[in-house]
This record gives sequence, structure tokens and C-alpha cells, in this order.
Amino acid sequence: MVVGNVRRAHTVMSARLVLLSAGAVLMILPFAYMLSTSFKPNALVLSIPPQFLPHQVTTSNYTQAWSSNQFGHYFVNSLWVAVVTTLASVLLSAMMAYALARFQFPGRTVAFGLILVGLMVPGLMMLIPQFLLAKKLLLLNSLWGLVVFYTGGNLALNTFLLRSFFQDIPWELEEAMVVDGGGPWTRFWRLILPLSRPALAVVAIFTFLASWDEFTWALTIINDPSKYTLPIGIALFQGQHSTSWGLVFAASAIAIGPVIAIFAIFQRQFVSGIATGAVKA
Amino acid sequence: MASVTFQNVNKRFGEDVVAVDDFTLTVEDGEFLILVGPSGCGKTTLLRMVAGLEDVTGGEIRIGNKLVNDLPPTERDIAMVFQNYALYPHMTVYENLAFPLRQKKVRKEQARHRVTEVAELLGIGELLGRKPRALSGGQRQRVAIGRALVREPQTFLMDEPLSNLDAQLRVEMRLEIARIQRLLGVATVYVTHDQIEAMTMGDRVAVMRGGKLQQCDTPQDLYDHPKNDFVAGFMGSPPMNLLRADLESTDAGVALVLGAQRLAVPSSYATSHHLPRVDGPGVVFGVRPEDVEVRDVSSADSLITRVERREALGAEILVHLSLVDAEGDNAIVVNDSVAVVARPTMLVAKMGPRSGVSVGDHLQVRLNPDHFHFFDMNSGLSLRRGA
Ligand SMILES: Nc1ncnc2c1ncn2[C@@H]1O[C@H](COP(=O)(O)OP(=O)(O)OP(=O)(O)O)[C@@H](O)[C@H]1O
Ligand SMILES: [Mg+2]
Repeated sequence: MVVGNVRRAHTVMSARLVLLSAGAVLMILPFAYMLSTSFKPNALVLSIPPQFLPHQVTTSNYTQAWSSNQFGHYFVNSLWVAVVTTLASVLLSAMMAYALARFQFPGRTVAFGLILVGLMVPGLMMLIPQFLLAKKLLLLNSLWGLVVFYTGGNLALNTFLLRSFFQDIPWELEEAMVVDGGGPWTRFWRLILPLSRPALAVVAIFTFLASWDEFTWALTIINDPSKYTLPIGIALFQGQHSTSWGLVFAASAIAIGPVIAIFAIFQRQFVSGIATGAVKA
Repeated sequence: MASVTFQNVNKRFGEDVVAVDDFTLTVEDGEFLILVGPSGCGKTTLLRMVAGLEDVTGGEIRIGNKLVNDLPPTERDIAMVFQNYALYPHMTVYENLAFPLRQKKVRKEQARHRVTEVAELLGIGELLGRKPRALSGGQRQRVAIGRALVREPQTFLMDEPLSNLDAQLRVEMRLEIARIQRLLGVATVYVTHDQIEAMTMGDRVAVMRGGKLQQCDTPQDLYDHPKNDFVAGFMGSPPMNLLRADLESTDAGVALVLGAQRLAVPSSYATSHHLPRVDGPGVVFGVRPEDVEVRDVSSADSLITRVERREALGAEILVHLSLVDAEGDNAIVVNDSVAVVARPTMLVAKMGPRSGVSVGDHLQVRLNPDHFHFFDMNSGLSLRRGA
């Protein structure tokens, strides 16, 4: 009986491992192939049969990608845009979420409803209205134009996520802080934000990724090559160099660096049970 | 430092729930007031209204001379110990304790001094570097107490602050809190379910039921002269015995009819109390367990009882007695449909630890005639004159 169970558990476990491994391989394979290609000399990129481990390893794609047409400059542009967007969007949406989660004010439900609607409208539909707006605001062809609209674009989802997280923070904690003399600002900065680090980390990662990767809007409003962001820069490699895949992939690999860094930085914040021990169960 | 005044305070939740009902009371400056009452009677709600965490539906609350009904809680300068601790989970014990001081812009050095001092008093000096989740329930509770005691507020509000501590720690904390309160001279409202805390810690005890203030007096007055049968039955452990009884006139005066037995009522009660007419509605008769004494011989002021249950508590034995008829057999129902009296024919007696009674024994008991209590059959109010 017991032995049978153990054996069954083994089978189930093995099946799980096989499935998960298959999934993982499927996910990693294109990425791995991209990485391996980025280290191949150009002549071998499209060789048949394809080489998974390049016979000849070179870093020339990387040096070339980094030094060609202001790639480093694009990188810095993207980094600036993504960081400022992330900071602004997380801060603003946290404030909105706090108000929506904790304060009674007229129009609260309507405000929240509008935010939900914002979630439902596909981004591409907004392209033209946003363009007209950006033009009025003199934000065309400027990195601020990216920051402002990326921030706005991420606000709805972030607010939605943070609001539900804030609502689960025990209300008693705020009451305790109120009695200790803490006003709304104190509570926001010294209670809600510190207790929401896991949620803030998630939201920050989402926002960073979204603004780091964004292509359409950047392509729409940026004309000046000195203001290009990385996605545009990478796209440039395709036409200009009759698509030398080694270069494109090397550029993409470089572009992934900050994303991995962001994950590494915020991962530490995912500490579960941060609120345990606060109030008597 | 200031007094706290409740003037006809009402609190409703929605339409139906009346949590606090026409509550009027003044907690004097420096006074330690104990608030007791059954679960759900509105104690926490009352504290929360003082703190400003709950709106006042009607009436006025004043701190000092200042009407605070509409004053934001942050401006009331109150320190509160919450029933469920409400410690800041992301802060260490030290930061938890120092937070109220920081809000009041107390200088760092001074704050550190005060925090360590209070932490030492409460026996949590070793824990200052820990987060609340790494503390036991009792330790958390002491941190919660500490967070209130570091301040010198207008008023302390404490909601069952010792409920999670072991017996020994309770005794220590009881003394410590009372001492600090005296030292600071801050008006304090202290909610408890513990009879000993209620009797020993405060200057006065306020008893609530169903949102209404029943009585507020010194502990001894409350114990000796409860204003109604509820207070009589609530204070004391075990509570006062309450029996419904008719009155009958005898040759010697008035007697209580307890089933088939009669108990003489000393004539002094006729003057000190508004006893009803003998053919009237009867009374609720009360006598405390410590005033039920075992007798060897039968006399006019004794009752025949049978031991139904025996609870040895160490220092004393609680004996549950039923009244029996003259033959000593049947327990008699004195009166059915009794609201205030759970077991109309039962008496609890407190006896010395060496008294060798056992279940089934027949006992003669004398009810100490100096300490009879009489309450109105309908209203439950004490019949004592001037009460
Ligand atoms: N927010 C609320 N909404 C509706 N009813 C409430 C609310 N808070 C309290 N009550 C009700 O008000 C009454 C008084 O509650 P309160 O918490 O003051 O009781 P308590 O005396 O502190 O009880 P305990 O000794 O169990 O802590 C209860 O009937 C409770 O159900
Ligand atoms: Mg309560």
C-alpha cells in the first residue's frame, strides 16, 4: 500500500519533471540559439546544418554592434527613459492606488471605473490620439514624450494591481499609526510603501520591461537619430546591414542585460509573509 | 494631561446596531478607570471613539475642556494599546517603540533613552532588534503596551492589554502599568475581562452592558453595593448567587421563600431597603459565595442543601449546592422562567481548601445575614435605599 503510493508519487514526479523540462527547453531554445549565433562569425550564421555550439567563437559581433551607429547612445537613451518612467509610474500609481484603496471621496468608484476602462483599450488604438496630444504638448521628437506617455500607459495596470495589494494591508496598522500621530503622508511613506515591497517590485519590473521594449510609439514620435531608443536601434541593423543576424542578436543580447539586472535587483523583495506578526490572528 | 468626558454619547453602526447607548461619564485627570462588560457590549467602540477612529453618532466627547467629536485623531494626542496589538511588521521592536516619539519630533537621544527605559520595564530589552514576526504572542503584547507607554499623552486607552500573558507575567505587568500610570498621572481607560485586574488596578470600575453604562464606582463599592443584578452577577469570581424568591411574613418578621424552605430576613433590611409587600411580586435575592457558610446544626437562618459539584481551585473549593426539601431529597424548582437567574435552585459556596465535602453530601448552610442583596424582580435595580 505504502510502497504503491511511493511508487505512484515517483511516477507523478517524473512526469512532472519531463513536462516542465520540455517546457523549459521550448522557452530557452530560441534564446540559446540567439546567444550562440551572436558569437558566430558572420559567415557561419546561416550555415547548414545549423551549429548550436559555434565551431568558431568570436566577440566581434558585440564590439561591432556596440560601436556602430551610436548604439551606446541608444542604450543610454533607453535606460534613461525606462528608469524615469518606472520611477514616475510606480510612484504615481502607488499614490492613486492608496487613495482608491483607503479614502472615501466623491467619484471614487467612477475614477476606478475609468482606470479599468483604460486597461481595456488596446494601446495601438491610442496611437493617433496620443500623437495629436503629444504634438499639442510639444512632446514630439523628445525623450520626455516617451516618458510621459509610457508613464501614462502603465498607470492603469499598476494602479489596479497596487490597489488590491494595499486593500489587504490590515487597516488596524493604519489606525495604530493614526493614533501615534501619523497623517496620510506618513502612513503612505512609512507604512504602506514599505509593506508593499513585493507588489512594488512586480509593478516596477512590468513597467521597466514595457518601456524598455517599446517600439511603436518610439518609432512614431522620434525622428532625430540621436534620440533613438534601443528597439529602434536594433531594428536599424536589419535594413542597413542587409540583416547580419550575428549583429542583431548581439545587440539584442546586450539589450537583455538591464532586464536581467532589474530582475536580480528586485527579486530580493519577494519576501513572503512580510506582514505576519502584525496583528493577532 | 487631561480628563475625558462622555456626555450622552451614542454610537450606531448602520440602522440596527447600537454599540454605545447614552453613555455619560467623566474620567478625571490622572484617574485610572477600568472598563468591564460582556463581549460585544461596546468597550472597544467607546475607546475607538475617544481615539477618533470611530465617529460619534450623538453626544459629546471632551478631552480636557476641548470638544473632540470632530478633531482628527492625529491631533488628539492619545496613546492606545490595541486589542490585536497592531505592531508595525516591517519595523524592529525598537523602531515600533520609537515611532510615536519620532512623530512628536522628540530628539533622537531622548527617544533612545525613553525607549530603552520602557523596554527594560516591560522585560523586552533583549528584543529591540527583532521584527514582530519573530516574537511570541506575549512579547508582541508587551511591545504594544510599550508603544503606548513611551509617550506622555493626554490619555491612555488600553484594550485588554494583558490578555495574552501568562499568569506570572500578568501580575508583573499589572503592577508595572499601574505604576507607570501613577507616575505619569495620565487619565487612563483600561478594558479588561479579568476580575483581578478590575478589582485591583483602577480607581474606579465602569460596568457596561449592551452599550449602556450600568454603574461606575470604586471597586469595593461596586462589589459591596452593586446597583443592579447585572453588576452583582458580573463582578466577582464566582459571581454573586442570585435567586428569585417570594417574601412571606412570619412571626419573627419577613422571610424569603426558597422552595420548601424559609430564610429569615433580618429586620434591619426593612429599613435599609425598599422591600416589596409580602404578597407582592417577590425579589431577586443575592448572596456572594463567600457569604455561604457551612453549619453543623440547623437554625432559622440556615438552609438544607445537597452538594452537586465540587471544584477544587487550590486555595479554595467552590461547592455547587442545590436546595432540597425538608426530607432532603428532591431538588425543588423555586421559580421557572427566570431571566437573570441561570440556576434558580443552585447556590455556589466558597469554602476552605481543607473542607472535606463530597458530592451527594447534605449540608446545612448559613447565609451571612449581614450581606444580603435585594433587587427588583422586574427592573433588576437594587432595592437598597439611596442606591
Ligand atoms: N464596524 C462595525 N460595524 C458594525 N457593527 C460593529 C462594528 N464594530 C463593532 N460593532 C458591533 O458593536 C458592538 C460593540 O462592539 P465592541 O467591539 O465595542 O465590543 P467589545 O465590548 O469591545 O467586545 P469584546 O469584549 O469582545 O472585545 C458589537 O455588537 C459589535 O458587533
Ligand atoms: Mg473589544
